[in-house]
Amino acid sequence: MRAGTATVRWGERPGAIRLTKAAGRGLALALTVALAGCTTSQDRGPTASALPAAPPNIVVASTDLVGDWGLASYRDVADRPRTEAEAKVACGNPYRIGPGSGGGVMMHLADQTETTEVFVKAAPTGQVFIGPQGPPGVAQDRLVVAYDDSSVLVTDWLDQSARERYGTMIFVRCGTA
Amino acid sequence: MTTKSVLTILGSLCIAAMLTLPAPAAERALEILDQPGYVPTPEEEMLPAEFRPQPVYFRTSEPPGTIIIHTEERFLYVVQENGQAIRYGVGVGREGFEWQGLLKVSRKTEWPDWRPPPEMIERQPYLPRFMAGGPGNPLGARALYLGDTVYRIHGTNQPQTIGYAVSSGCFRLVNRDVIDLYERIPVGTKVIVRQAAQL
Repeated sequence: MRAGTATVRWGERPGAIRLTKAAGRGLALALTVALAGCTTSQDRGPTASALPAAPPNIVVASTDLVGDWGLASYRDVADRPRTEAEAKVACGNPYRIGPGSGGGVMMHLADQTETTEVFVKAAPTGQVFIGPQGPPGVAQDRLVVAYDDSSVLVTDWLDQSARERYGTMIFVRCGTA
Repeated sequence: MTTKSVLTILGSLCIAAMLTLPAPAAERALEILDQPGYVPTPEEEMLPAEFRPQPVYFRTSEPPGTIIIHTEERFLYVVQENGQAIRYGVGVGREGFEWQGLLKVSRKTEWPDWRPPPEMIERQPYLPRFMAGGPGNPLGARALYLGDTVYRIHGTNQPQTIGYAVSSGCFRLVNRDVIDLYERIPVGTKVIVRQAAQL
């Protein structure tokens, strides 16, 4: 066999992950930890944390958000340029924002598999939020950190747990140069 | 006490002992989803003793520095001199994602980026399609890429998966251990992945 080559036997992917018999402490413990990790944030409910800094007077309307977006995330601001490039690539599997029936748009709240109608909301401070109907800056909202050239939207979850888990989200509008 | 009753008691004790033994490694699969962004506590990263890095006796004809992964055992060995190896506990591919072969470490990265697979995005459509590397990233602190395949030896933010068959074919270690491995292993290292024969 030549060095650097592989003899690989590929398995067939099953339709679902098989759960073997639940023998052993480790399985119960792992499930407990996994379920705790999956449910903790939902049981605790979103908690508002101190508002992150964001420039005021960002101009964006709910209707501006409708469309396909490449979605990526980063934690370190130094990673933003390459994350934005990756978000463009992610247009191959875009995040779709559709219009809502009440004048808002349909997006996912943190950890929710179903969309919710959300609205662009401006606070007296000049900061702009995207979230469910109601006052701006509540725990379920996203803070709009930037909206560049109508084609790059950057948001942070106000909920500290969501922000820590998912980082800063960057949406790049698909179909733009 | 008669001989028969003594034997009965001993037999019962043996059966009881067998029932309390952990399941063999080959049977330890785990149903768990990735948890992007989850950062385990130091307590959660403390592995059971058998999965912590340790020197062991290990007989092989491979030269020191070679990585040998025994997937059924859930151990990764780094061959040392004098019939020894450093043994690490790993999580391996789940059923349908097992494989074996001979590869080389083609490159290494610190805090690798993560791209959730399409089926995961289908389940969790709110996920970013790309997550830049960092704590909480499912690929953990380091990644060693195997040849030109999709497979890697990488860290994890789910230390409870070590010792289980959970992945799509990659091998995962807790971050502390993958950092240790990363420092020991140069690009070009031979990696042998072995599966037990299925009878």
